[in-house]
Amino acid sequence: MRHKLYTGSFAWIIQRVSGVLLALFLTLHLYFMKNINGPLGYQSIAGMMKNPLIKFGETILLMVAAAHTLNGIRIVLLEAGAPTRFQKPLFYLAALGIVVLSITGAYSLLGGRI
Amino acid sequence: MEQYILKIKRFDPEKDRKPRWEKFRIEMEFTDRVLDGFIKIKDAIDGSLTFRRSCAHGICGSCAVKINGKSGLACQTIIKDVPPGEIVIEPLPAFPVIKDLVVDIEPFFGKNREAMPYLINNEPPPELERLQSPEEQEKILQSITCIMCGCCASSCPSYWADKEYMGPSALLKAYRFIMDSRDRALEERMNSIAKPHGLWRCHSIYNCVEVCPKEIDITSHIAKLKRLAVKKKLSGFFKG
Repeated sequence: MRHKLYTGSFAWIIQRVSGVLLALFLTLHLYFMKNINGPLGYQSIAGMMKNPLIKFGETILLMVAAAHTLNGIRIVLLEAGAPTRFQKPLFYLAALGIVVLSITGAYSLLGGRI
Repeated sequence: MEQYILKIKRFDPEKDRKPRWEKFRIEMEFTDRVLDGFIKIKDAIDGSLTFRRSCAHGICGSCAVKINGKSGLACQTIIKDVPPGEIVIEPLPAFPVIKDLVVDIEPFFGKNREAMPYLINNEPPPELERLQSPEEQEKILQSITCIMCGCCASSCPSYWADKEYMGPSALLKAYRFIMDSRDRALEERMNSIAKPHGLWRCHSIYNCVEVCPKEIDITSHIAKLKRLAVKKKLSGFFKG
């Protein structure tokens, strides 16, 4: 490591990694959506979505999207003029939001109900 | 007096192929500064230890090094404030090393020159001086305290990754003149920073704010410039 990491550095790394993962997902998503041929094709894709592995992937996707969204809102607020003293509290708030969304999302996606 | 170990990353271009670590055991008071340690080593143990220092009072910015993984001024870091045990000293990251703790600061200064660090005003000068109200001065008060030590740039991940990035210090310098009520070169200055390797390389990581020895809120200054750039672009767009 070239330098000590601080809260802002972690927020930035999370934003970068989640951004790359979301771009990969969107590419796959658009590819599959484009290649649906009629109701039968839709049926087969819908069937695939019931696969537990895909369900697990969707849970990860939710976590990544939550991280990117909440962290992104933090950066937008800061660059729109929120004072620097809020940068760390805002990160902790975003992290809390990510954890809550991930747990509730995982619970409902993986079979439980809320 | 207590014993301290200073672990210093050394490099002599005439002898070494790559940097090496050397440990020095020295007696220091807890009120001493890291720079005092360097001076003690140079005086009594190894005269070949090379480092920059000039004022030794946090004004010239010469003695910036990486102390325990964090960029900072050796003359402003008191021994009691660093965790006990070994104190690890390295040259500033992202700058080419010349010898031991001395880095080539020229590329960094070059980027500061890119930001045109001088007043531009073609109006005829008044009889005495160009006046500024206290309120107008308040706007640039923080940005004029920059001592150009290079701590901010060397701690910035964008600066490590992009060799052409102007860096926090140069952008702060641009801010200092853009917000100066006596300056008249707003267009020129905005054009020199609102470019891919300028303003938009700052990703608000806040490392510069964490390390700045003058405690300047650099990121929020850059954010103000970003907002100004967007505002100018949008107003131009609506005017057609």
